[in-house]
Amino acid sequence: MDQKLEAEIVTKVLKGDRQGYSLLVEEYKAPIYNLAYRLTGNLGDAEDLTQDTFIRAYQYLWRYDTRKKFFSWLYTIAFNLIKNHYKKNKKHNISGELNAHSLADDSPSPEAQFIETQEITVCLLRLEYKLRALLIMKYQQGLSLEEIAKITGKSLSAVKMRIYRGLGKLKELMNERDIL
Amino acid sequence: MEEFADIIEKIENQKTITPPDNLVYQIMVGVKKVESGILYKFNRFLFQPRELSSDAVSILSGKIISPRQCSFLLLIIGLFYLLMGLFALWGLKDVLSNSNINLWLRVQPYLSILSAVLIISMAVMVSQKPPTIIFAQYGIIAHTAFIVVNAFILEFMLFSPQALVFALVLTAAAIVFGVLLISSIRSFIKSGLLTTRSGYAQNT
Repeated sequence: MDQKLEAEIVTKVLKGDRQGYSLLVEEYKAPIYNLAYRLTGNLGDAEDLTQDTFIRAYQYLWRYDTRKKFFSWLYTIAFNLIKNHYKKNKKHNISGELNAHSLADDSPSPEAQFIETQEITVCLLRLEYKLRALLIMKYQQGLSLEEIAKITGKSLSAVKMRIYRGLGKLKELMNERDIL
Repeated sequence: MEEFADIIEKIENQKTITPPDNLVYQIMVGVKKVESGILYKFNRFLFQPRELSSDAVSILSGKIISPRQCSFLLLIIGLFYLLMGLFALWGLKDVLSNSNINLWLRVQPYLSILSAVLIISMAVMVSQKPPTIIFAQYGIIAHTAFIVVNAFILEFMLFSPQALVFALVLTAAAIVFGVLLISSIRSFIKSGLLTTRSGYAQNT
């Protein structure tokens, strides 16, 4: 969806066309849901956080600057909500166990590849939250470094450095589990 | 980053998870709930940036191009006279009841209220039947002339310098309003959007 169309939809929604908002939800539900799942490792939490993100975005839609990308703005809301959720539930957080329900259903890849994918997910979940978030945004969600810097509120060099550090730690974790 | 190429590839190859089918529906239900909340309405009412209507923009920039704008200006000035008259009536209650004071001075608040009624009537007239703006123009000219004459009369009756200054300031304000109103009405008439014979032309 291009930026102009997004801006038009937002303007209509602000004028009272609530149903128009469902177009934006439909467009961005998958990346937000995936981000939440990859960061929490729990499908239920991912669903709740995705709902919270879109509802919060609607609540403050009038603050959105239509000259900027809607996705970046939405992503910032999602990122902050997930971060707060993580802080609240730190004690009960995953220690490498993940709800792999979705991963298991009819995977077209061979068994070995599937296990490997699941292993990297487990290793990612064991990684420090801040580093995990950056790696997922960069490599799983395909965001640019500039976008990540904007969303996280860090400088570009800090983002680059943390991604490098995250990859190093992930490699260590994977070596421990003999994945590499 | 080459040393991590295999790890990066593994992260990139992670399966994308499909959200539940009813997610959009659930979100829209939540959105509906939020929308009916008082806090949401209050926040939007207070903080949502608003765009000025084209009418308001042109009034602020001095370009009067519609009878609605003329009517609005007349209404605002009418309300000013009404408030001024009511305040004078209320504030000078005791003074006005004193029969030793000149009658012309005592009727000043009523004159202000009468002006308000006339100007507000013109506002209503212009908004209902735009061609009557021609009469409104003459009405405002006559009213402004009357204010000047009234100021001269008052000058001979008032002896306190404070009262004189007050009367002069109010007269000056009234003349400025009159001139502004006349120029606004004239700018609308000149814009060519009004024809007196065939009524109000939407656009030329």
